Amino acid sequence: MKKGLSPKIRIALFVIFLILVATLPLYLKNQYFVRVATLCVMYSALALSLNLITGFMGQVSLGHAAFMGIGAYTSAILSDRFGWSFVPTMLCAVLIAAAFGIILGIPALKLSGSYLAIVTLGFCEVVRLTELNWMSLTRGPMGMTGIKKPLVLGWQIKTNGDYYWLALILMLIIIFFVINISNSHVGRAIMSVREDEIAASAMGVNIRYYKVMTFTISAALCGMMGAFYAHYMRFIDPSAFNFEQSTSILSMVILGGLGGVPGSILGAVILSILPEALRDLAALRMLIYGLIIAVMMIFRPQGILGRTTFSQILGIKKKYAVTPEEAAALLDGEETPYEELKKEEQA
Amino acid sequence: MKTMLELKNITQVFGGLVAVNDVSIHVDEKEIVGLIGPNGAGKTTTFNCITGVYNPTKGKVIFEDRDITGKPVHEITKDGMARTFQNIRLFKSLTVLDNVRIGMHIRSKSNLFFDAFHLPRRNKAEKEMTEECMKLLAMTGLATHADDRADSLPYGAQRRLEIVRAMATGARLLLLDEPAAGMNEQETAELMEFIRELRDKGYTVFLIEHDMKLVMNLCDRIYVQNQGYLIADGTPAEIQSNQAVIDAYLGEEV
Repeated sequence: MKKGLSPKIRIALFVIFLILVATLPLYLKNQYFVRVATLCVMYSALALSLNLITGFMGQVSLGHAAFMGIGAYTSAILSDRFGWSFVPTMLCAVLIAAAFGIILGIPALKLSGSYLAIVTLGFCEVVRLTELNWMSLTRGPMGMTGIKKPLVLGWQIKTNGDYYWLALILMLIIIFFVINISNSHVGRAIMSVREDEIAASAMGVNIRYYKVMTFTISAALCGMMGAFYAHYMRFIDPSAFNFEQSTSILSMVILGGLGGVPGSILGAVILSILPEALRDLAALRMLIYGLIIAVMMIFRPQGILGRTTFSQILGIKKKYAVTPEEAAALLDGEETPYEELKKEEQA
Repeated sequence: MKTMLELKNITQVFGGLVAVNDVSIHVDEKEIVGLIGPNGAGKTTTFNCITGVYNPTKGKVIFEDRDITGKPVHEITKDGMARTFQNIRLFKSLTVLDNVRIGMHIRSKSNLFFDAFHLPRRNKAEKEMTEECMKLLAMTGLATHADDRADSLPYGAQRRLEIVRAMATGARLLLLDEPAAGMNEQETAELMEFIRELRDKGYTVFLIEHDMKLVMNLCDRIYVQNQGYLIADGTPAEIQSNQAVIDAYLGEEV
């Protein structure tokens, strides 16, 4: 699409795009649009956190709404009952969601594919039913109302624009972590689990450790967005964190592209705007929604962007391949890993 | 010469099937040892017992004087042995370089914290790792394909990449499961040369192979397995004239 453009132009376009995104509430006066944009950002962040498990590690999770719910309730309860401000409640939400991530990560050690999907689905239901029936803690089906507008390190969130910026900051934090992890030896270990578990463990990758770790990180990031959700909607009830929510996050990841950061964002934006855009066609809405996903699965199962990274879009992806001459130069005085280790031992 | 790997009376039973029966093998340092036998003899199962994929029903695996029986696969790799697979198991949709970098995973000096925050220590570790991987790839003529998907390589190159990936773990002992399978004569000759170079660099190689030309020319010693049992061991010349081996391969005289 943008193949002919040089990296400089691409980066310039990208910067303009970023500025437009960052200043959106300043020129978008329609409050409804700003709220939709906030939803897009929030769902992008949720899709990114799920992408760690589904895209990078190749395990299906149908329980992501549960982590969001755990984060939302933690944050709401701490804010409502104990009067804590937003940031500490969010940190607690992250920690508690992470703890549940460990708990859900443990069955993932033995299961994969559809079996794991069913376990995560069950987990989602257990969490939802707990939220529904633990009246003294969560007020059950009545939900928690009147959650205060957040005060973030002295910045009082008042307008829809403020919420949008807060969501954007949280999403940037998540993008930062997801990109860093995927571009490192930890990320490669996670991807090796997706590619071939037997080969990965033969290469010394501790599969159990990485599976639990990925679930934990993903749950923690999801819990963070849950805390935002609670403070944004200012009303939460268990029905917001049901199976439908989990599948809609999963659809975003699948539609946008498994295992790519830009893909998740695109998928989330499309699937957040689509229901709103189709509001007038109320009766046909779900039909069109379903049709788009079905068509995608047939013609582009890897998702719209697949595993494309930002650096590929910008044309600045690092190339490692060398010419044969350079390869020969690399070999001068070369030692094998074994020889090097032996030297290190002697030293 | 020092013994590197020793199998003591390994038996592996699956239900009613005794896949490996009372097998004792030793591999000395800087040796190239072959394990041959007809299809279904239990060779790969023996490998799986060594590398921890199976926990042998009976017997012990000793690696460099330590008992590694029943240890998890990834820890055995950390101890210093790495393997390749009969039916190539590369990380197919990752790049050639990333395959080798995953091989180097256990030696990375970075960890989740440094990675997640993109700290200088992560950058340094990543740079060193990439350089070392590129050198390894250059050694096997794969450096020009570093950015290609692993499954886009020709068959012979995929086999070589698997060996490079195993070397990247820092292993001293390489277990190669049918490294020449599916290779033409030219590729097999190159592979033999490569394995000899490995030995010269200090590696110990234990391989399963059906290609008799490779086994007889390359190996210092050969073990022959049939229906789970070891039926012979010795130098290539001894194996070639061993009646039990001839019977196992060609059937007994009537």
